[in-house]
Amino acid sequence: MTPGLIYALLGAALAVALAGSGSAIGVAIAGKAGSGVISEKPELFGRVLILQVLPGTQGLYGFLLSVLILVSTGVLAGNPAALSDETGMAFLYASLPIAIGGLISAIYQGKAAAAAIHMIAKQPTMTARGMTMTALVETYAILSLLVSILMWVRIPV
Amino acid sequence: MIVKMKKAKVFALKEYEDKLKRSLQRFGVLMITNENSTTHIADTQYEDSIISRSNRIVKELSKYEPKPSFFNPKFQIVDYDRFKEIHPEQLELLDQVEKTLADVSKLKEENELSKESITSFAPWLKLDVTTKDISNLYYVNIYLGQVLAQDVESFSEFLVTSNLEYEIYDKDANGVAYAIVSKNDISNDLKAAKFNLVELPVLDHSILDEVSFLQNKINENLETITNLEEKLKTYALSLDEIRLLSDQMLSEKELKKYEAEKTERTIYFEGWVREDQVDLLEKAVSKVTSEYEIDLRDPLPQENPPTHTKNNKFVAPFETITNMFSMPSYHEIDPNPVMSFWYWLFFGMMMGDWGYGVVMAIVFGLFLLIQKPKGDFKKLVQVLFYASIPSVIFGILYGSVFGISFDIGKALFGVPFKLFDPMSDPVTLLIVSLAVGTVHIFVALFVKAVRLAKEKDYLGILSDVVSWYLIIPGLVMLLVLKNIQVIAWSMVGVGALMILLFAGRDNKNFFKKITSGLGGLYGISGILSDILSYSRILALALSSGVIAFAMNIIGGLLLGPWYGYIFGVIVFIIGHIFNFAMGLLSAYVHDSRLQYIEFFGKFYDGGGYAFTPLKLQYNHIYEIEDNL
Repeated sequence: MTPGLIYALLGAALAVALAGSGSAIGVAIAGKAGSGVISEKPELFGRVLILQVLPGTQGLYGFLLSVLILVSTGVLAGNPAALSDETGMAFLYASLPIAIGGLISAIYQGKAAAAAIHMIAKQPTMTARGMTMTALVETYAILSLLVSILMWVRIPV
Repeated sequence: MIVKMKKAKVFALKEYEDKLKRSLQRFGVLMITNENSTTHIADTQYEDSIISRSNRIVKELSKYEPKPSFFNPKFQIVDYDRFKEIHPEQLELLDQVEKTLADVSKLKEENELSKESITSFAPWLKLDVTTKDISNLYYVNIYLGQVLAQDVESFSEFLVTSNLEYEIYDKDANGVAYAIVSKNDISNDLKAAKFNLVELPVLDHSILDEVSFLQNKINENLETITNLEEKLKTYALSLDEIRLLSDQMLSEKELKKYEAEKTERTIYFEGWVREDQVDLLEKAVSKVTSEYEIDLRDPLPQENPPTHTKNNKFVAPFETITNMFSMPSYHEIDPNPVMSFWYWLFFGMMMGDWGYGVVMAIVFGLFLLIQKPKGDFKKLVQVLFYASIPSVIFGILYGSVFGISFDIGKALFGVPFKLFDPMSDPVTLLIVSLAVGTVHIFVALFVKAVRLAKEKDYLGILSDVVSWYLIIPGLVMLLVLKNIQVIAWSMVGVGALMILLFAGRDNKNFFKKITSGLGGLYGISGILSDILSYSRILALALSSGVIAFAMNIIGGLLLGPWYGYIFGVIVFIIGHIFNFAMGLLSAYVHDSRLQYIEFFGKFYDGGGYAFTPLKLQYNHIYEIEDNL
């Protein structure tokens, strides 16, 4: 096992752990707001749930990039490649956009989702607008993921 | 397509008001807007109370009904002739069921009390005198009470030192039971010695008899409860009558909201009617009386009629997506025919797995076929059902089935159907996504041009639409085709000039014209970020693909020994269900967003309100059959 591989693994770990933590925090923020609303209006459960899971996608994006790194370094297949230090570092850097962008955007998306949940408590017909406003935050996680993928795809192993 | 509306005034003789209202409700064609109807406050206390009572009964009794399974759901279909008449038997049934339910709960409460008494009597079963005798004693006092287990020792000492006569009975959680005999009033001493007096009811028979009496009563009550529950079960067989009653009252309540304008002899209703339903309105009125008059006119320019969209079978379900954003206003272009195709296409590009596509087709198809949902929910399920087709198509093009890379064309026909694999070649899908997104935006701009043409704003078409048609392809050519740079530059230049000159067309002031023009030019950043936004198609296609792939690997790691297969299959199933559900939700949300912001943002205002005529209301009943 080369140090390069360790760097690549660190990248995979950061992508899923940071983006996942962000999603966990975001979903929890939205969940707190949601529980309050559901206690008063149980019939809104379905709509609230949709808004609550929206900040969960960043965790999936982080997971996605982790899997991609694990695939291209051969770890998943069971024969890890002997990566050079530079290549390993490259994978580590490729993981950073979604790791950091995912972490922070998920937390803020959670706050936006909580606000949208409060809105639909009063105006259940506005669910779609709340969803759209919440999804706007995710744009930047998507851009992060995009850059991560564009970096990952050009790294020669 | 937005249906044309007419403003209708329906005149009739005064004595026909109620009948006319009922007939209008039955046909459901007139959205009544006259002043009396919009201002008067109806007293619907009676209806509300019947509705809430019947709904409670339905909730309580439905557990006695045979449960409808997924494959054999129950649809209550009622004839209009039955629906219009509330039978006194229905109200009677409501009373009877309520009484029976009250009886049951009363008996249950009684049993609870009896059980409590029995437990509190437990330590006193060996008391061989009646409590009545004890309370009637004249020369001595007998104190009945309990001492907590930890205090028994000190209490025994107290008894010895005080030289009292006593008897010990059984013990329970409250301690050991004592009966203490004394000539004097020693209640304070006893209290000091931690003796807790117990009040037993005054009875002329022993506690033991009382317990068996209570036990008998409990058993009797239980028997009565079983009989009453049998009765409830027979009531449950006619629960549909109660459901019907609830819905009938709902319709009655709706009816009360409306009131005609009156003169001495005549009345009239005013409201909106769909142009294609004018003959139905005529029919609804003529069924009541032959002495009537219907006055029809087109909406005035300052009026804001309600919106009703009428589209073909493919487009109609997608109306629910648009309506969640905002309903088109009456004077606008209906965006649904254009939007529906794109929503459909993007959904497939985002799901991008033909295994999931087939599952969507089966799950939502069966749901529509068997559960027969109604209203907006039905439309949403239909959207998902339709979206299974592009999901399968793009799944085949991506060569992905449940996350496994598999080219079905090669396997079946020896011709590759797979165009590219998003996982190993994400850049291609990125370019495809952005290209498709650009076309989507161009279509939106085209609709805007149609709208501007309707408003006779021809300069607007040049500055807001044609300019982008030149600039965006020009920029792409600059990037891609290096040899025709002159043409590319001139396209960009002409487009920019159009914006600069005409974006400020509404301003008279020259300087304002220039600043508006520059502001319009700045719109390029908006358009570019809109195009970039379509990269989410790649992100979502990749995320559902990669997560499915990861689930397969994790499941695959477990395979090997026979128990590994069990866990492996469980991981496969749960993982794929999770990924499938998340994929659906993400595709639904982000597809909607692309339509709302990138597409509607270019041309669509919305702000309409729905056409809601006076009609029969029902929640429990599935359908009312009526030969109009």
